[in-house]
Amino acid sequence: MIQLAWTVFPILLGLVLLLRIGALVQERRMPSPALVSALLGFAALFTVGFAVPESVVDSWLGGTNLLHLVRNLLFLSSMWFLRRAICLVLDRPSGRSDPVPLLLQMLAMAVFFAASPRGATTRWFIPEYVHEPGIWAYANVYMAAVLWLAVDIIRLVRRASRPARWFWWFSAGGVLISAASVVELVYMSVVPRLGRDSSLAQSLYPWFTPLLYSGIAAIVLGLCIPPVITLARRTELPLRLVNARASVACAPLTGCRHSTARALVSGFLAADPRGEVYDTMIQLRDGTMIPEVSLTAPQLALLADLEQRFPYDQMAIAIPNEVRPDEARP
Amino acid sequence: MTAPVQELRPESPAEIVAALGLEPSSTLQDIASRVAGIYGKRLIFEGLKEEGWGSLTALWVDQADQGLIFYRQRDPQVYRAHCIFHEFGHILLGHYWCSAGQHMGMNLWGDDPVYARTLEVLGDAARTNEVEKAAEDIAFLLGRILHRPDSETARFSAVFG
Repeated sequence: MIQLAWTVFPILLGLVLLLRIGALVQERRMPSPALVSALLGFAALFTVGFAVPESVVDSWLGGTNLLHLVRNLLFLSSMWFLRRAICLVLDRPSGRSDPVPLLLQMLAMAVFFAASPRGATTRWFIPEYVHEPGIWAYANVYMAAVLWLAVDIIRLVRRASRPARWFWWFSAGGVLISAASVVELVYMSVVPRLGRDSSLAQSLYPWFTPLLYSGIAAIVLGLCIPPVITLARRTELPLRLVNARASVACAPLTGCRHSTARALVSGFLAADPRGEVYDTMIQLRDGTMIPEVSLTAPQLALLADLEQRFPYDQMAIAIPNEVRPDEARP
Repeated sequence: MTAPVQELRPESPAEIVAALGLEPSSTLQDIASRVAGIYGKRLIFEGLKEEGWGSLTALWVDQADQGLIFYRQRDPQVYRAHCIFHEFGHILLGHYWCSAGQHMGMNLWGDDPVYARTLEVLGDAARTNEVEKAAEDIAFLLGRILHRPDSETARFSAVFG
């Protein structure tokens, strides 16, 4: 199951990234922070042996576990850009856009890492080197930074209103990654005192990887679902279907099959089906009040259906009691 | 040396609505504020509870110091907003078309010009009444702006989608 997820998630993320980069090139836009986050996360996946074994990639960097630092820097940057994207959606201009704290943490990590002696590539880098003060400091700064970002993502999502259903994945990911960070921080405070073979260290260490990677998986899903939803929304299929039905119901009843078919097709392929549905609804409502017009049963049923679809936002349609000329926003 | 570029006065309903500079996420309040800004007077909105208004769905009374907009309480919410937008259309046309709008006199408000959205007038408008047709076109354009998906959803798609 884990092996399957390990294969499926990178492929899923890769496909979505291809889709998004294609759209970006087509529309000649700069990548959004969400896309940057996904790209950095995708790059980080290649440092854990997804496509090329970890030892091979590390050997390209000198074979002294430098890959561990690269992966953690990529992951941290990815989380920072994810938080930035959430801030943009929630319209929260704040110090969260300032990259300086992140850069300082990354610099501290790099300095501690570089200052420590390291041997050949190992999959158990932290358990084997955590007794080195430099590696201990490097890993603690990293885990504290991850915890800081994960907790902040949870806090941001808690304050979100409507898109909370999509943000839920980020929140879940944040909780799992926070838990993984706490486990790792406790582990790193236990090992120097009690040793890596102590029962406490032994019971803590197995929790880190499942918590961290299930958190990452939740975030990957959160990043993959919106582009798919946007793609589906752009097609506006339900609106096109109802507009096709409206076009047929409101077409002059000539009894000509050709005109019905044409109304169906033109309604379905309308450039702005949402606008056409709105126009039809108003015209039908007008029709209910004109004595000379008698709407057919399908037209009345259609009107009832269309009126169910509006408004999208109850707050937006509230009628004020009074509006002054100086209230207009610049 | 090039001649100074003169600002073009919006003429068609689409140009008049575009000149409002509305955001895609504008609310009815936002739209009303923009219209009041152009009108230069406050706008008072009043729901008519009584029945018996027949095919009259909304009306605008243009008073010296304010504009009164009446709508029917019993109409569905979206339809009420549309009828108010029709009156906004008259206000905007009055501004841009230099009082080209026709109005119906009503003794109830003395000499104040009264503009009404009645279904009989709208029925004829497509053929004869250019101002009514333009006001209704403006109402449809404003309705399309009001009923776009909400701003937070749009922002989410822009950033994550």
